Amino acid sequence: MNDDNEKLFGDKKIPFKVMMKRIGHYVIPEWKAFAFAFFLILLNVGGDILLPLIIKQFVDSIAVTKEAPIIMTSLSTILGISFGWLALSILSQTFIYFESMILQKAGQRIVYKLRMEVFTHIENMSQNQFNMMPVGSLVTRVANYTTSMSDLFTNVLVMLLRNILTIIGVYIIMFILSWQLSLILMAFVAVVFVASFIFRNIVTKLFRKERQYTSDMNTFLNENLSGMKIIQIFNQQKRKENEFNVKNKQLRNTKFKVLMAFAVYRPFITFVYFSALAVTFFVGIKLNFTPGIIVAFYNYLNRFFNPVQNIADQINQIQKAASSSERLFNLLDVPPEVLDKPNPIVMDHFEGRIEFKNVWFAYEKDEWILKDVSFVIEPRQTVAFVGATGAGKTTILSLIVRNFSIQKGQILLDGVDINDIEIHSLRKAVGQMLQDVFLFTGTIRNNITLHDDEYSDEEINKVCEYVNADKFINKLDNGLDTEVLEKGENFSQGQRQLLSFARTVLHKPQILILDEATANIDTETEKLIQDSLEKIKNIGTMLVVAHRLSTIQNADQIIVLNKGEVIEKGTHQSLLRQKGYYHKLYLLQFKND
Amino acid sequence: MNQVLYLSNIDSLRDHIAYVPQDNFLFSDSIEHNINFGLESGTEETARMGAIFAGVDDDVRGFNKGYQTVSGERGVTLSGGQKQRISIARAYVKNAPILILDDSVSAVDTKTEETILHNITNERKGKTTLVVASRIQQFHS
Ligand SMILES: Nc1ncnc2c1ncn2[C@@H]1O[C@H](COP(=O)(O)OP(=O)(O)OP(=O)(O)O)[C@@H](O)[C@H]1O
Ligand SMILES: [Mg+2]
Repeated sequence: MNDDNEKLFGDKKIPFKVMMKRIGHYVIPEWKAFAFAFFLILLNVGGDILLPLIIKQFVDSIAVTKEAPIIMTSLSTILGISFGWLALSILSQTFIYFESMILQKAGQRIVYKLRMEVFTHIENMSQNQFNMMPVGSLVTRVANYTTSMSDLFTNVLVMLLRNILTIIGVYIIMFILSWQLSLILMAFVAVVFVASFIFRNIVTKLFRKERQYTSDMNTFLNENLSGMKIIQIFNQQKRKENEFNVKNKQLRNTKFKVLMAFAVYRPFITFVYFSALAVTFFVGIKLNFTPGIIVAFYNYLNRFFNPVQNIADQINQIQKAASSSERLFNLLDVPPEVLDKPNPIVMDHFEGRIEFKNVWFAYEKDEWILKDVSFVIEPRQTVAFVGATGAGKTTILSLIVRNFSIQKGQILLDGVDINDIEIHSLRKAVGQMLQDVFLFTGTIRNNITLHDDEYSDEEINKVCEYVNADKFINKLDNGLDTEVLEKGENFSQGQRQLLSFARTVLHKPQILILDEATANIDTETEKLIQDSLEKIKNIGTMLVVAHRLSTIQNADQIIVLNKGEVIEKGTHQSLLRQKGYYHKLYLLQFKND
Repeated sequence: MNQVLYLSNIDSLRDHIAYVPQDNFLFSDSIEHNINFGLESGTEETARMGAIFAGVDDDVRGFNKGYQTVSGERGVTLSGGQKQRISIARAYVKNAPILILDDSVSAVDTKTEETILHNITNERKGKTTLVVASRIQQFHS
């Protein structure tokens, strides 16, 4: 479990070899694109390296005398050189065009696949796992990390490859042109490499910090934007501003340091480059180079130092991508806690018999929330769960649809262990109306059908009428097509609950779960609800949690919970006769009514 | 009242009102910090005072880490009623002249509801408390 936690937060190290293999998994399907791009890069680099040689030819064909430059070669040769130059340039740029199109497209296909994979994976995580991850950090992973990983294939690796090839190619040609000068220039290369190495070390640390702070900031923003109402009500804007300021400053200061590092590194490399040029001129004249060779060296040095300078950058990006991939793979590696068994039983119809057999359950190790809970609910019964807050009522209901896995005991549906039932068919058969109704942005219709187009307006209207939601919907100008704002902000709690009723009933469940759903509805609406619940009861087995005893008096069975244990079971009348806990609750409520 | 509204800007108006909204948003922070949210400097003591008022002290002390339990984003690790009462505690601790409860005891069982309403009558003497309720029965006490 601890290991899984480490993975969830993305801090677990993945060995380099394993990492390469996994990245390969995404690259291999695109190998054709990559191979072709590689080929084009070779051509492109080749062309790039040859260009200065043409210049050399050209310069050497001009002899300089005291009076005027005399052109020693024929016009046709000069024309040939000019066109050769032009053709090579066009070719080289065309290669760049195709290469980047091919690579970018392959890269986008990879990110697309990755994002899909990560999202699907998150969807399948259990509630328990989901609760441990701040939403902000999940968003960062799906949105940013996937991109930075695919950057690796499309930009970074390609540029790195191009640079390395260029450096090697250029050096070989310089060596052929003058091995003496090339050996002297080696000293400058060494200086650049050492500088780059130091620079890289500094910047890697800074980049890691930067990523950490960005993710922190996203998490902070996500939570505090959701809680803005509370912040304003409690007048805590100043404090939150200060908290944000701390994070903002951290990020800015890190960025400053990154800028600083680059601001020192780049000019330094340029300085080395200029020194190398100076040496080249000096040595060139000493060794009696032709003007063409000096010009060629001048060109090659530029082509040489540019990639050297960029390599440090690219190695950084590779590290950034590697740590992003690590966090992504870590997330993908967390096995969903709740999974289908290899050959799950697909049930397309449930009678609705539910049995808890000595069920023990804890959210956190050894903190038992349910202790040895046993009960049987017969098909089509209506059962009410009663107990103080925190007794475990919601927990019991969420176990039936396997939002969490139990540690000990067994839960049976129609005599089958729910662990053997295909989760999809299980959840399809159970309709849940929960304590906090969640509405999606979209229309009322979408919120009721959940984007299932098989339902006609007639059916939807019928269901709305059935649960008494039609009254308020009909009053809206746009009826079913009224927009729902984020989290349903533009509807009252009571209305939200009515919508969730409609949603549940429309999907024709065989087992219904109702958690506190009547709590926020005014007395009048509650009467309407009660009326429709009487009807819904006949759909199948129904489990209700309610604090108001009046709502549950008619239940076939009442299960009384206290601190995670079943303390009483029976009908309203039999429990009253027992004169136990339920009796006490009843008297308390009775006094109020 | 008109005059007060006229004189005060929104901030100082908000300073005088503590409000328990219908949906109980909690920060992913310790229960202590959540309850002390409206205070400049709060302690576990002040948090407990609020919790006792809202009838959630027993629950919190039952948790392994007590008041240092971190409630998870949006308070996911608490039961509906616990969340609601922590939100009541948060408003109470602010000790504002006006306390508004918007249907805030709906997820709480009868016994706890009783305690809270009882506490409101006792401990907020001389201060205004507004209770918005969907059920008439709440007004009887
Ligand atoms: N995701 C979670 N992680 C850890 N603990 C949890 C989680 N959800 C609930 N709990 C704890 O489990 C206990 C039972 O919670 P549950 O939600 O089942 O109570 P309930 O009977 O539905 O209460 P209420 O009437 O207030 O809704 C509570 O003490 C709660 O703090
Ligand atoms: Mg509950």
